[in-house]
Amino acid sequence: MKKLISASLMLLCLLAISGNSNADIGTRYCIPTTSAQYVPSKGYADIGFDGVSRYVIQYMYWRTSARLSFFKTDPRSTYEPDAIFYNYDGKAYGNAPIGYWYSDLPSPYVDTQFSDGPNEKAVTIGSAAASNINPGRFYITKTRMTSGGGTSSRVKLSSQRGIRDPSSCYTTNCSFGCNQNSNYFTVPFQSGYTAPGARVYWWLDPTTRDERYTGTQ
Amino acid sequence: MKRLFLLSFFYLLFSSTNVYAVEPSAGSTDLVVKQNAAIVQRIKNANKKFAELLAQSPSKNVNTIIHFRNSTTLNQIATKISRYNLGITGFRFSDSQGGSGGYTLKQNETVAQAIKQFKLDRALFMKRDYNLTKKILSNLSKTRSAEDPQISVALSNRLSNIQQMQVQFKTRGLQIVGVELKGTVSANDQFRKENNFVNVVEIQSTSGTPQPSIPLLNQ
Repeated sequence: MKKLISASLMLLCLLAISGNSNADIGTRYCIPTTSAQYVPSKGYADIGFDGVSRYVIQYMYWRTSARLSFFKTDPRSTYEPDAIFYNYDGKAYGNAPIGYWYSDLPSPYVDTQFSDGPNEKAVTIGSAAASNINPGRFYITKTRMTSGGGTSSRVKLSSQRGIRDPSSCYTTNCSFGCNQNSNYFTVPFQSGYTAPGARVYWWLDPTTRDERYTGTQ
Repeated sequence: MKRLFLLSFFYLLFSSTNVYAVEPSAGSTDLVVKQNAAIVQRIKNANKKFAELLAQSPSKNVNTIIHFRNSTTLNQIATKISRYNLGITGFRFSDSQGGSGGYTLKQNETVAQAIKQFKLDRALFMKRDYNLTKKILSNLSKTRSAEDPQISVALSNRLSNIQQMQVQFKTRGLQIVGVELKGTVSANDQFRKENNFVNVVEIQSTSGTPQPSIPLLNQ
């Protein structure tokens, strides 16, 4: 009898912790999707120093409506094109957004690094209303940033989808990554992209067979 | 006792519901309605939270974003705020092409220095945007994938938009739609009550909150 009570209590505790289908309390359920339903068809990044400070500029382009279909199905959807600097050696090129920032993505915001670890420094302007992103248009994000500990470092670019829950809430507490297929590295660290420098990427975009891009440097 | 535990176990197992179910697919009109409703709700939530804090802790120091009903200029808003016991930590602006952004003051940067750099940066980054877009466009023709009319049109449109933004900036300057402040709740309230261009005062969380600007009332 005692064993039965103990086992039941343990099971009840496990159920309370795991709750519903969201095993990770930092994520929320989003409808399953493929990367082709939210990752941009093409993108460009330009990272450097302009005499005032270091900066990050990114362009992104979705070729068709189908490439935006996840965002269109959920009005709470968010999108974050991250530029992440390698800091495992303490020598990241970029550190954190500061000063001037701008984007023509819908409802842009400067993403916080509050819950990020020290080894990867993400400098990101996100969109809180990704359902308003339209195909056939080049969007931009740009921000100045404080310098990291190095004069050059590896960079990775990623596309992250998420949702606001509840939809009227725009604070950090209400912004969640999706519990599956939430993040794709369009340019991983292993690609060799280093800052300062420019980069083009294309993702499942058959129209682009090759392209070189050096920014204005 | 055994029956009670078993009943509890099965109740918990089958009663949990997924409260985060995604809404069914919506048409574009439904999306607009839902987004407008979300903004209205956001304003209501912000007003409620501010009113509660004002009632409970008027002397508490907070970080806020003040969203405006109409745009104004940097100098005008800086002059107005200087009359209150409030510190400016950032500005928010929007442009005619649907873009928006801001300026976050650096440590030890004065408001005058920030205003000067903000204006310089707006011009600098528009110029950089133009040059980069032009470079991408000319680069396209040099690659094997050469003709990509969709991209060419999108890039040409971008160049045209940038030029319009540059003209707008030259004639109207930066259109400020909000300001980020630090100060007591009561000081924020005083500012709100005495300036009818204030739409809503939104409290920022201490961890730093990614909050986009609330659209102007005339948009």
